[in-house]
Amino acid sequence: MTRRTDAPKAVKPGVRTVIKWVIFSLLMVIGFTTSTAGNGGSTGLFLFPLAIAVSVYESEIPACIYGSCAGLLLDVSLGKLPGFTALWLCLCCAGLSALFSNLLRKNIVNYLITFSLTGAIYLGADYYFYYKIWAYEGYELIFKKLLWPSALKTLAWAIPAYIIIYIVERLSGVFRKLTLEQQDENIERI
Amino acid sequence: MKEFFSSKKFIVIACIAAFLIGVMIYAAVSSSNAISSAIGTAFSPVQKFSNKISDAVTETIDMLINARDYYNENLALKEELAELYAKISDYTQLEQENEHLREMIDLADSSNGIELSEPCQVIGRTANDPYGSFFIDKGEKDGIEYYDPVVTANGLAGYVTEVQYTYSKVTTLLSNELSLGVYCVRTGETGVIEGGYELALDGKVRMVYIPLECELGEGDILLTSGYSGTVPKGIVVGLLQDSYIASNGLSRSADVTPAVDPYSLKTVFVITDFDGKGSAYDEEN
Repeated sequence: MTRRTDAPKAVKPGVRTVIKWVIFSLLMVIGFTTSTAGNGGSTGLFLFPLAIAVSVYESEIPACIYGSCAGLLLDVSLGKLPGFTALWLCLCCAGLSALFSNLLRKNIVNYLITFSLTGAIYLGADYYFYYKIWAYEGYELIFKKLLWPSALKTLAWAIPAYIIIYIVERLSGVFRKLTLEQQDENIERI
Repeated sequence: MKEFFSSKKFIVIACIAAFLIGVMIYAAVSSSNAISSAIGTAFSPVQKFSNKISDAVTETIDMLINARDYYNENLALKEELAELYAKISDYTQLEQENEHLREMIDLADSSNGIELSEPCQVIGRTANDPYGSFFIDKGEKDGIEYYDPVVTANGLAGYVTEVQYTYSKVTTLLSNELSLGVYCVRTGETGVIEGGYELALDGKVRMVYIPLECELGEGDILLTSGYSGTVPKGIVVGLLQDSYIASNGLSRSADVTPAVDPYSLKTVFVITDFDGKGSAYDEEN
């Protein structure tokens, strides 16, 4: 059995990589604008699952940079301290990328589990540092009426985000094909 | 493990994390925010465009879903309009009489010297903000300054709390960061308007420090008192709802419905100058 790389000949791998990152960047812009558009209130954050989905398929450093940029945009759209979400996404994306490269299988179930975990920790940190710690009147309601609906909407965004990234990666990546070949008597078997 | 911590990958990731920590610290200690400003300036045209698309889609869906309600509302409004036309003749007479009286006592037409900006378009909203703060497409280059009041034809919408070169952020009256002196048109009683999480979720603010024996009633119109020097006198703030004795027992509080719903705003005006602007601040210094 041999493993060989086979790719469509029409577009060079380098160009495909550039196109892929252009698409990722456009998705980032769309994610930013969708979170600030509309009539306000509780909003789903498309950028968060998008960054996690990218880290499933990309290596540590690109995932870390993409996560940082997505995080900074999220901080601006959420009106939070710049770096708060960015730092979390930077570390999460780098860590998850390493996990998916070495330990976990790249599928939607593992993606949803890791996304839910990272999202839950972020949600808790957001609630604690931005609302609970200040103990303003009625802060408990914020979780129920604002953050929780937003988390559910973000979770709903997670599946389309994964599918989009999966399709882009499939179309842009070098396809790996596993083929069975005839037994070769010259191979020394131990 | 040891190999990983000495690898280039780890060093790069650590550098990015350190950079982000630096950004956080810089943003926390400095009043200006270069990162947000740069991102906001770069993205404001895109935001403007996407907001237009979002508005168009929302309006179309709204029209399709609520057509029956709008039809009924239209019928009710037609009836109301007919009644208002009947009243207009009386008002015109009263207006003329008022003008004559003004001339008699030589009272100048008081407009507080208000200077308004060009119409400002709402280009985006802060995601998950309980107070509904939003961004407008006018900034420093259009003469907007920090704490300039933001109004619509209905009344006061909020204050400018962040000014960048091409855009500004408006914090609404629902915010717990704002306190504003107000008075009642009917009774002349004064108080202070302030916001809070719980009230904001119902789209309301609270009027506090009302004397125990007040004559305020439901539906009373509240106007800005103008004492602070941050907002001109006489701008409509909202309608008073039920009042109750405050938890300290020394004064009364009342829920107030703001005249402007921040979530439905499309266009606003910024008051860039008015008589007495910054007067309270100047006195303090």
